[in-house]
Amino acid sequence: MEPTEPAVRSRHEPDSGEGDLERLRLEAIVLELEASNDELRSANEALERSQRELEALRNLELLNARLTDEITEAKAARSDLVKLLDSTGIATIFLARDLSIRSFTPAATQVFRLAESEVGRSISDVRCHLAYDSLESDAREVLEKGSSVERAAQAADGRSFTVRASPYRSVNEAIEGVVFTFVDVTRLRDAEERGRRLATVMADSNDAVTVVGPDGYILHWNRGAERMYGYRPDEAIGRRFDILLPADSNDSASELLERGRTGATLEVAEAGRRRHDGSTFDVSLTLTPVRDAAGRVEAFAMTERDITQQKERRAHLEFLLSELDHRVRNTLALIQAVIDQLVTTTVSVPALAEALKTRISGIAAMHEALRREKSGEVDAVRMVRMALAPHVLSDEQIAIQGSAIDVPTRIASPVFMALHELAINAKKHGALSVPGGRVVVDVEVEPDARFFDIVWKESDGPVVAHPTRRGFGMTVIERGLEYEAGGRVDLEFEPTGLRARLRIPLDGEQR
Amino acid sequence: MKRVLVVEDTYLTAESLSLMLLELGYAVAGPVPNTREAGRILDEAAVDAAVLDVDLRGELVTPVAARLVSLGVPFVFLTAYLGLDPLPEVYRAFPTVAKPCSLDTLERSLNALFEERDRGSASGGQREGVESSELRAVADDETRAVRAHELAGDQ
Repeated sequence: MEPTEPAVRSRHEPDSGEGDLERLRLEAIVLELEASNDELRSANEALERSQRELEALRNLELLNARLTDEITEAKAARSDLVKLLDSTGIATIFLARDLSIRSFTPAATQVFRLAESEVGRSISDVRCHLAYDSLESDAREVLEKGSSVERAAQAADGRSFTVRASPYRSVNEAIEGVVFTFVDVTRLRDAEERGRRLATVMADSNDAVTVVGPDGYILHWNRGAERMYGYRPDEAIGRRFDILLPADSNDSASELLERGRTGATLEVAEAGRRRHDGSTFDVSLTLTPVRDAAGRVEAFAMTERDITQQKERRAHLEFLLSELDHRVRNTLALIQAVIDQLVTTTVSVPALAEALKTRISGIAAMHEALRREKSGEVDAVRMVRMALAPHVLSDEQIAIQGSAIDVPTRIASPVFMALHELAINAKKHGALSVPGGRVVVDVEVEPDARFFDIVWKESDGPVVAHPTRRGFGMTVIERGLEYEAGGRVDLEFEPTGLRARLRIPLDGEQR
Repeated sequence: MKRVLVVEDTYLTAESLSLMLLELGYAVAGPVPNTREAGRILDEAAVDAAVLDVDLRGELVTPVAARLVSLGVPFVFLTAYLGLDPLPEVYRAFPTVAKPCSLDTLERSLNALFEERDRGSASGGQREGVESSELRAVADDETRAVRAHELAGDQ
């Protein structure tokens, strides 16, 4: 505007007529031009402004499209993540910093009493089925320290869970909350326990449990095997199974394994084995092939049991049965012999039957008494008491006394028979046939201890006469004791009662 | 009359056996309850046959059996053992009669003994020689068997 000022001033000068008019017109044109120039300039500015606005708008649209894509992707990713979490079946629960529930997987309803409406509520208001009291303090610890916490917790129904609390971090690594996962480890725990139990059982078993490779090399060696064979694991593992076979064995490890390869489980009732020290023994064994997934035999599991004791017991049992058989048959032979003898000395059938019954009960008493004698010796007084047990009515009738002395049980049988016959005789003809009659039995030991005597004294009975005829009883008393034990019997038929002295040698037969 | 030696440790059983033998027409040598007295009888006079109870109160009758084999006298074992026979292996081939035995059984076994003996003497005494050497060879085993038997009995 500065250069135009003189022109404007000159236009107001009065000294020009026509020129002035022209100048005034030009001035007006200039003013108009200037005015339109200004208008054009501002219009241009407005256009430029709207141009910039349009560009910004376009950028916004592009950004918007990109964000929309990202949101879609994020939604899909989130949905995938939720599905993944749901499909794991792992109970998972997300807590915000204030311990309110942000979300959870369906499996979490097994651990907490949760419904969809519970999102946003504090975890402390939701009932937990686990014995897990430290949930809130664990959550706080995670929030403070930013590290994970792991716990074991039991459910009321016996299931076991491993609880893991981890920080939930945002994109910029800020801790926004806590993630709890609850993994049901019940089966794992049970399997572990079973495994541990089995391992203990196997290790402590008295059976040798070994694993042998298909090539016959020992791969595993339990404590039972160590005890049974005397090889330590480091001495046995890696060596061939043949070291356990006796030198003269017809078996070979490879042959056994070849047989084991064919079937499911091979059982061998008896097989010879050799210990580290070279001694041999017998085992029963079970051989089971262990197959890989393809069905190939990887190894053999072998359980061996020492059957030495079993065999000894069986042999002992056979021996006992044989002894029993022996005794039964000897007894039957004795009864047969008693019948043979009684038949020749008894006058009537009822008398024979009675005599026979009495002898059989006497033999039964002898068996009963000697059944439990194991030492080969029996106390003499005790033996006499047992022999007379079927006859003793009261201590007044038969008194048994004497010094304690152990006598061999092999002489018990004839002594029993003799005492039994003395008692039968006393009941029939002697002191025990009347009330008030008495028998005193004394066991006496000779000073040199080569003999012992059983002295039988009857008194207060009927007057005794010497028998005219030797009956069965007298024969058994006199001859039996002499024959079987080398003993001697003196019988004195005194008027006051029978006196019998049975003298029996202690050191074998003295005939 | 043929004489039959009876070795049996139980008096009444021995008497009963003797009665049966008398009934069958034999003369009885003994009866005796142990190997020592059996030996004494064999020292005194010859016998034609013998009935030997295997177990004489824990002592085996085998020494008598061995002597009879060497004398060429046939015999039967009488035993109440049927299962676990305490007799050493070498004696198991000899005829055995189970206790208790009937008159019939005793008669048949003795008859068989004499028939066998007659056949044996016709074909020569070879068998007896073999047997007696076998018997000598097992003398040690026998003692051991008796001892094992007694030990087992003590349990």
